[in-house]
Amino acid sequence: MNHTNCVEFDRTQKVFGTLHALKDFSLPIKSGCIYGFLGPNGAGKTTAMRILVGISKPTGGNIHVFGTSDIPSVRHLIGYLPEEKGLYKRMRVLDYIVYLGRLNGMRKLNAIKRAKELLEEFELTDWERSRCQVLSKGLGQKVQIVGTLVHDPQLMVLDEPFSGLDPINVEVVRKLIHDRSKANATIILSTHIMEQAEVLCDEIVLINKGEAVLKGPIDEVRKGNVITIEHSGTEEVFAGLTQLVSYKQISRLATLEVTEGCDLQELLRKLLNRTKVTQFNTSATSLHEVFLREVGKIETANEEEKTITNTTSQE
Amino acid sequence: MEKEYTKIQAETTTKVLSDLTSSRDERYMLKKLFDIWVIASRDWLEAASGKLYWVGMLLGPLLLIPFPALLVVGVPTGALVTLDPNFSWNPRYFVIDHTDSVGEEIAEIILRERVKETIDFVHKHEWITSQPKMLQELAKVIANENISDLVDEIVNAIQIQGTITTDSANSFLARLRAWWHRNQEYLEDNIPNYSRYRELKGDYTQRELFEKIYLESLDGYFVIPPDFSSSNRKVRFVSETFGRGGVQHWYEEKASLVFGDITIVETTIHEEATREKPHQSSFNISNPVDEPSVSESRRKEVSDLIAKIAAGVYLYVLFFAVFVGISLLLNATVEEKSSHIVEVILSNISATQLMDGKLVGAALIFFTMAAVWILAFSAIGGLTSGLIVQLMASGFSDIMFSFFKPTYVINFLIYLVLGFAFYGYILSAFGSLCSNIREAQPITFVIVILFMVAFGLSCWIVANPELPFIKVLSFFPPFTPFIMTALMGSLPDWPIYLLNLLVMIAATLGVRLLAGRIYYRGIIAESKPKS
Repeated sequence: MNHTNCVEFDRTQKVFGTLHALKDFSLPIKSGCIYGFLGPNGAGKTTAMRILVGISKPTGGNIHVFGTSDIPSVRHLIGYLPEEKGLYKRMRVLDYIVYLGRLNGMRKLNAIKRAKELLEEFELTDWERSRCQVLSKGLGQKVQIVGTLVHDPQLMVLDEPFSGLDPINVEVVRKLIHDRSKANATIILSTHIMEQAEVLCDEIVLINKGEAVLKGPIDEVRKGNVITIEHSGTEEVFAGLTQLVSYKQISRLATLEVTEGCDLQELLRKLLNRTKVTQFNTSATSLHEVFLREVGKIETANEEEKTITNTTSQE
Repeated sequence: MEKEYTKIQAETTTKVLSDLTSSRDERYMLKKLFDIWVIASRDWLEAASGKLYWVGMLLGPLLLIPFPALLVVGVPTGALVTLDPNFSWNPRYFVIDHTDSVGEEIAEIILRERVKETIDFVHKHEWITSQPKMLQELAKVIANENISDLVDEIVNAIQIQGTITTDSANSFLARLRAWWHRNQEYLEDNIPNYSRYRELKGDYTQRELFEKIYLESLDGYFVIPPDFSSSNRKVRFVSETFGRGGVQHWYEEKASLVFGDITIVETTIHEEATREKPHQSSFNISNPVDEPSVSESRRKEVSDLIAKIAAGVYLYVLFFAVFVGISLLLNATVEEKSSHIVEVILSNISATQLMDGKLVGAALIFFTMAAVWILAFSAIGGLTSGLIVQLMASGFSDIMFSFFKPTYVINFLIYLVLGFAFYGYILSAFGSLCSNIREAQPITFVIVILFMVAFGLSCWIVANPELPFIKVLSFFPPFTPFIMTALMGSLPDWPIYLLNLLVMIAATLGVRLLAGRIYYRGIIAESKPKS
């Protein structure tokens, strides 16, 4: 365990019956960074987060948080906002936040003081004596976020923190994430909104079917050997080009993965001979594209594998 | 810049780790207990801040009434029947005769009337072959003797004191006398005008008489003062409250047959307690010959009776506490699950801690309610009649002490905690599998049936503690708390008791372990991972 790493998944596995939710999942997460867990539904993001906060135990492998695999002993350093959000309906807002603070080992008076500060920061002071059942969805979510922060955790695990929030509150949460990061807290978040991840995260991991298919600093992930072109032809114009590793076309827009050290000028010349190119974009790929590409790759590979298996079995 | 940043992070992490390792073990257990307390106090405060809780608190005593009513009718009756095979619902009275003769004379006139009624009946119905052999034999004697002489002979025979010699035992009168004492109930049921009032014989102190009156095995007692002849023939009748007129008027009528007009003055035991206590030696001791009169055995009888009544009361409180407590717990568990907040809570504490906290919370909610009821009832009792002071003066404190014997209280508390935990953990586990109360109902029904069987069986055990299979059954954990409470008056020897306790503790811990696993899976099943 590297002590600069706040969290380290080490070949972590989680099996539910016959479903492998995490397969040999290895991932170091540096202290103080904002780390994004991306992936399609059912990829294993929430499972990984639950293991991380100690709700679930891994079936195999290890996980270290703050240098220990005894997660219950460091629970008070972690703040967790689950995807499934809820409140005690009859409890008052301030009491709820204080309650979570006390569960994290805070003294009552300290918890009250800190809760009031946070309620003010999140513009919820007017609601502090209200029962949770009267809150709107957005307000309720803000209260839950405050509950996650009350004990000033060193590690925040936020599962879909933007879901259900209006644009104003999205900005509030983004600011919160930045502020906590500046205060040296490590933040791990999952999201389906790639733009959010691009703006917020220092590093990401793309999880699919329980495996980390792509990980690293966001710039590196986006860099890749991918170009996009808009042209008048069909996908067939890319056939036989040795510079291309793969290609995919949707409508007039094609995404091309090129070989390492590929001469892009040469490639453009060849393409112009075959089709009318209206756009040739070599800028960094968006996370959205990376997501589609990587998940698409795996889907294609799986389909091919299935086809081969079926053919073999028919033979 | 980046290097600097990484250095800061590394330092932060190292500091965190060093904080963690120092005295972590000592704080870990305390933290666990503290978490349980935080969960419990939240549940308690939330319940106490709800209107329904206070409605329940007001209506609770109404629910409590039917059970003590059953208890008053059922358990003491069962206990009395078990204690005294001759027990019946006949009013009983006792006579303290300071004149040494008046009481005997009245008793003799009562006996004489009864004998006469019996002879008349037998004489008129000698053709009834279904009569007991003794009465058939009496019918033959009547045919050959003068009835007036026969009445005298029988009365004298019945009044004989001391043991019966072999010769006299074989005589008709000796046999009739023995039969007479054994078959009072038959005579009361079958002989017309045969009075059902029975005089209690024996050597009792005033306190023992008070106890009997409290326990309703005695309607009251008559006190014939030493100056009976010179005080316009006044006799005191002492009972718990005024209005026990039946036996009083009947006795007055019988006494008037001997002494002309006499006056019976009613008085309560509370007034009697403040009167100068009569000397023990002046009590009239008129023992029936077949009945050994030993004060100690009577005391034991009363003590056993109180033990059985106490067991019944404790059993009822146990049942009520566990039943209400686990119902609260079930609601709290289902609410916890349906609020979708459980994942946040489980990121701070373990599922077993949450379950423990909920259990303690439910216990706090119930015991707050119980404490309010007890205080309210005490205040009402104390304010309205000053009853407590009077009861203390009249020996009530002794009865209360018998009710709250340390062994009873300790045994009750042990099994209250274990019973509550045992059933509470089971209900928590099942509750965690349900998304709402409606889903939980069938499960609750099954548990409640088991619960009711245990309670019903234990009520029966209160009256029949000696049955051999009870000891075996007491080792069956779902029944143990109830059976051990029912047996509080006759607890097994300490090695057996200890073994029983260990089995129950082990079973409770086992159920906790199992329930914790079910609870964990059940409680987060609602929000199972989607991604």
